[in-house]
Amino acid sequence: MNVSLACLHLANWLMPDPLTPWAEAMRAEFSALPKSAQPSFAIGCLKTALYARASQRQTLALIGRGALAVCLLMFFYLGFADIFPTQDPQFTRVIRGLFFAYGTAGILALLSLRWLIYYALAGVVLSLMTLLLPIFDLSRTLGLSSGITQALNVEVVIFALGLLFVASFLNLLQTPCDRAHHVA
Amino acid sequence: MKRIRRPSKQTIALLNLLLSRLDAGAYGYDIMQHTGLKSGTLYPILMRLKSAGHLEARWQTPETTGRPPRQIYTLTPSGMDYALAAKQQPVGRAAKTQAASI
Repeated sequence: MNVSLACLHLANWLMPDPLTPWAEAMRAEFSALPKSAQPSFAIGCLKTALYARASQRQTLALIGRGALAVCLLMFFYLGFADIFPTQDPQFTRVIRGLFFAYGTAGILALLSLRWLIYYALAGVVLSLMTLLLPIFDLSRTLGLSSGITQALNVEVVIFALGLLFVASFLNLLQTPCDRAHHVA
Repeated sequence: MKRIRRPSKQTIALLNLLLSRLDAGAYGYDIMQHTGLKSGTLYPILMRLKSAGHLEARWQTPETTGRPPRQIYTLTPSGMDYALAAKQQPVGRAAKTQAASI
């Protein structure tokens, strides 16, 4: 199998179900092309399918849920950083930055979905709370007792979990209504 | 007159081509050859126009025997209005000047 055909098959596989007729149209067009035009055409088809897949609600929702999961992981990591052996501040800063960037991207993706607005709100709060973490770090450097800092971190994690639980519950309530709305 | 947001120059090139072939329509590769658009740009535009109801896509068997059927694209009546309105929209700086003077 040549690369062009492989790209075309991949595009066909990636194309979301409602757009399958377009994948068939591309395949039919591909067979009518001169050999020299086939590679760039197939790459274009793959690009189209990727964009179509990435802009699907399910994909955006997946990114958003992943973002929330990552936010939570970050809280666990940063909240209980004391018990992890790696305490390199530079490393912690990079991890925090990456998680924050991914969390924000996921939240922006979610904000484009009205039906998952509660997830988005929860995500926004989680992201804002990440900004609080440097304050806790500061409290460490100011010499506050480690017990207080640890308590604050535990509180943040518990609050984040509670928030995610409420968001998931609201989302569960909202999804059937939304489905009904879209069917109508 | 209802103002429309000016489509991209790639969309305008496609609309112009389809306007010039109202009855015959055009195949995907045909459009690519005449407008210089790549498939990665062309198909998303075709999808958007079709979902907006401006484009009709139907399968047609080419006159040459032994060739599989391909999709041919034509403008719908609303697509014609859209293409004509897009053509009348001022371009670039002229559009900004006009908007500022309103």
